[in-house]
Amino acid sequence: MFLEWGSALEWNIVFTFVLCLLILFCIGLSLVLYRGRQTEGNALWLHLLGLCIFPLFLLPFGNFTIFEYSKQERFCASCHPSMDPYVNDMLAPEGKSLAATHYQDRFAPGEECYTCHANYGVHGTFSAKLSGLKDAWRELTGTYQVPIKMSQPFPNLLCLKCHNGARKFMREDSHTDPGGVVARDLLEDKTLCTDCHLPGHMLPGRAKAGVKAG
Amino acid sequence: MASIGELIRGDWPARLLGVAQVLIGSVALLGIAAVATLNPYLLLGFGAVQVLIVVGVVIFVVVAMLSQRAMVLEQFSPGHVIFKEGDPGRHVYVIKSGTVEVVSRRPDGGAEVVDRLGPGDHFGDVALLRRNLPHRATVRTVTEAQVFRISPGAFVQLYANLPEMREYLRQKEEPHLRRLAVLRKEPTPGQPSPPVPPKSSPPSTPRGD
Repeated sequence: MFLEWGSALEWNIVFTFVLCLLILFCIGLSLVLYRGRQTEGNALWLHLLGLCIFPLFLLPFGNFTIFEYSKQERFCASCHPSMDPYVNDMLAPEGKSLAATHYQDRFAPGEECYTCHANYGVHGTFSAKLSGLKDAWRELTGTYQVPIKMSQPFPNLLCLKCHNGARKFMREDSHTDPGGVVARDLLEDKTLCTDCHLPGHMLPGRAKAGVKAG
Repeated sequence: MASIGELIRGDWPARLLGVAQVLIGSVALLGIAAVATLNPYLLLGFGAVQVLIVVGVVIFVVVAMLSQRAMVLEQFSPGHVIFKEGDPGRHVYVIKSGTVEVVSRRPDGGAEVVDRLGPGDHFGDVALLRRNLPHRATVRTVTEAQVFRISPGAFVQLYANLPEMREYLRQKEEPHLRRLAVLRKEPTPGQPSPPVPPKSSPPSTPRGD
């Protein structure tokens, strides 16, 4: 039943569209009705709507739309030449990479790329958006090399933000130190998750041998 | 849709408001394109220009606050056109210092100075009182001038509540209107044909400036 109502993102897209239309309508109406008298009493009431109230509503709705839509897998996939190999690997029904298995498990429907690649909290969101902006600029200007590479090794923290404390994860001895806490080596990236597990993405010709450890 | 040139025409608050309209209107247009197509570049562009909304809102607030001020002292350099013949009436002006001249077009297309105004004189009142009436003459400064610009709301309130002021304005206007009418070869105002308005109503004959 709730699905019929649409997601928050879908509603925000509609609100953003309607607010933009209302702003343009108010500006157009003021030009027709108050041409040459834009700073007079009644015109100012119309401007209050078109140049103040609706725009101030557009700020949160518009930004929410942009931020939420940029979390979507289809947003990342829109940079075709650079992202296609990674997206294809993730979507492959028989894929063995971590991205493919996570995707098959439907752990974050529609937001798989963002969920794995963005760090904790507000700082993580901000740095992910900033990094995404840089990537979009490189895509726009063509200043990238295929296949694209990560600027730094994938940090364990990004895996641990979901797996830390999970029963299945904590049962594995190699994940914990004595006392049942997460192994310091993992927290400090001395041992990478992908040292034992299959890599996040397995690109044609770049497949890395890994040990599936359950 | 008016062109950008038309949008920014007018006195400086109106121009500023035009700038705010252009800024916010552009963001709204980009927003429509972005959410309608869900194109990543348009969305990112839409995000990047959101700051223009803030700028536009700030401009609107400043203009709205200034427009609510009953009287503003403006300074003009010599030769500055305060308003042109045909412009809609927006404000009433009272000269604090300096000289301005009232210039009207003759039927043959030439221009003629019909009046010179100095400290204490006022202009722009009739076009304002008759909302759809444009100014019938151009007013420009001769010397450096300081001019009080009175907001329409404040002026109309004074006009409605001060019978002495109405009478004063009517007496000041008549000779001026007569000069303009002669210049344009129109029926002379103030002659028997047009009925004399009651004291409580605005003047029925437009003053040229």
